[in-house]
Amino acid sequence: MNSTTTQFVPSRRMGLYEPVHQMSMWGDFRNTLLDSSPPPELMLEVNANLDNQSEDTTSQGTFAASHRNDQEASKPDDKVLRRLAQNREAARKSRLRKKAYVQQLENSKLRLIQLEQELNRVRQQQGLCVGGGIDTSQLAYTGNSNPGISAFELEYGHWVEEQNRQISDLKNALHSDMGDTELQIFVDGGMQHYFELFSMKVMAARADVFYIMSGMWKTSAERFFLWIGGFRPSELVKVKIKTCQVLSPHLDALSEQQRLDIVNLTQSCQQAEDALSQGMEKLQFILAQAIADGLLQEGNYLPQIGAAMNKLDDLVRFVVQADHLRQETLQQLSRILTTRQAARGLLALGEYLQRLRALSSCWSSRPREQA
Amino acid sequence: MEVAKGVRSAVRINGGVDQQRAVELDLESVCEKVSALVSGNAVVVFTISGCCMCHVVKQLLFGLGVGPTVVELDRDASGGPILALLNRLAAGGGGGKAVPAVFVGGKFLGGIETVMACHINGSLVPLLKNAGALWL
Repeated sequence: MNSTTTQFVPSRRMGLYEPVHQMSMWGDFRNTLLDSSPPPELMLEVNANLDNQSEDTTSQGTFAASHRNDQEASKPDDKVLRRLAQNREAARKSRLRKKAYVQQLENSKLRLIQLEQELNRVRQQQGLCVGGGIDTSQLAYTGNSNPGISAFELEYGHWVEEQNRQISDLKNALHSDMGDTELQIFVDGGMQHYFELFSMKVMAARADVFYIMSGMWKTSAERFFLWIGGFRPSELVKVKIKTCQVLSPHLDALSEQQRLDIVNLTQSCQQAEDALSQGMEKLQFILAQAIADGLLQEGNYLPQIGAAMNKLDDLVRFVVQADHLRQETLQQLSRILTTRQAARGLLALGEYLQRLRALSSCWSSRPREQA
Repeated sequence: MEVAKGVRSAVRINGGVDQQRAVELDLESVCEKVSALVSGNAVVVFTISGCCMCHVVKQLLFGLGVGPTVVELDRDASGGPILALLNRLAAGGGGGKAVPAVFVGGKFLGGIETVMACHINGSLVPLLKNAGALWL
C-alpha cells in the first residue's frame, strides 16, 4: 500500500494518463481489500486520498477531455467518453467496496465488545478459573498462548462437531434395515474417531501436560469424572454395554460367552486402572518430596524446581498410558460384541457424552441466586 | 540355551552397528547374566527405583497374585550394562522406554504398554500360568 500512496501524483500535471494510473491504483486497493486486514490507519489514509482523488479525477478528466476536444477536434469523442465512464464506474465500485469493508470492521468491533463483556461477566462470576460451557461452544477460555494447546482446542471443536454428526448417522443407520457389513463401516468409523482424539491428546500433553491433566478442554460436568486426562476405561465399558443388559430375550442381548468375556474385560480394566492410579499417587508423592526438599534452608529453591521439572516428564507418560488403556479397552470390546451390539454401544456412549455436555450448559446458565 | 540365544539375537537385530569387539564381549557377559536371571525365574521385572511406571507394572503383577523377581538397576552392580541391553530391546519395539522391562517364562514380553495390552486382550494371565507364575 505504501508504494501506491507514494506513486500518487497530483492530477493536474498528468492529464489524460490520469485515469489509467488511477485504475491501477484501484486495482491495488482491491487486492489489499481481498487480502486479510491491512493496517486500519493506512487504509483510512489511502481512503482519504482516494476519495479526494476520485472527485478530482472526474472533474479533471472532464476538464482535460473538453480542453483536448477544443484543441484537437479531429480525435473522436467516444474514446474519451468511454474512458470517463470507466473511470466513474471504477470509482463507484471502489466506494462500494470501501463501504463493505468499513461495515465489516464495524461488525467485528461490535462482536469484540460483546465478547469482552461476556468474558468480564463470567470472570466475575467464576473467579479466575474460567470453565467451559459459557456459550454453545465447547472450548474453555484459558488465555493460553501455547500454540500446541491452541491448535488442540481448535481441533477438538471440530472433533465434537464430527462426533455429533456421527451420532445422528449411527442413529439413522440402526433404525434402518441396514446389513451388518454396512453397519460395521459406521462402527469402525466411530472407533477410529475416538482413536484420533487419543492421538490429539497425546500431542497436546507433550505441549502442556497440566492442561490435559486438568481436562481444561472439557465441559464442567465431564471434568467431574476426570481420571488421568479423560474418562475411566471401566466407565466406558459400563456405558457401552448398558444397552445389551436386558433381562428379556432381546435381539441384541449378550450371549453367555459374551457375558463371561465382558466380566473378564471389566476386571482386567479395573486392575489396570488401579495400577495406574497407584503409580500416579507415587508420582505425586515423589513430586511433593522433590519440591519440599530443604524447606526453610539457605539458598534459593531452583534445584528443587529443576528436579520437579524432570519428574513432570513422567506425567506425560501417564497420560499416554491412560489413553492407550482407553484405546485397548474399546478395541477389546469391539472384538467381543457383534456389529449391531457394537453400534448400539457406540451410540450409547455418544449420547451419554452429549448429555454430560448438556448438563454442563444447563449448569452454567442457571439463574444466579441473589445475595 | 534357547533362551540365551533368544536374548542375544534380539539384541543383535536391534543393536545397530557395534564397532568395538571389546564392547561386544561385554555385551555377551551381560546377555549371559540376564539370560541366567530370566530363565531362573518365572517373572522378572527390571526397574529403576524412582520410576513411577515401574511401580505401575509391579502393582499390576502383585494385584494378579504374581510374585515377580524385581531387579532395581540403580541398586545393582551391573545395572548400567543391563540398562544398555534393555535400551536395545526397547528400541526394537519402536519408541518405548527401557524400563520397566518384563520377562515372562524366560522371554522378553515388553514394557508397560505391552503388558497392559496383553492384560486387556486376555493373553497375560494364560502366559503367566504357562510360566508357572500363577496357579489358579
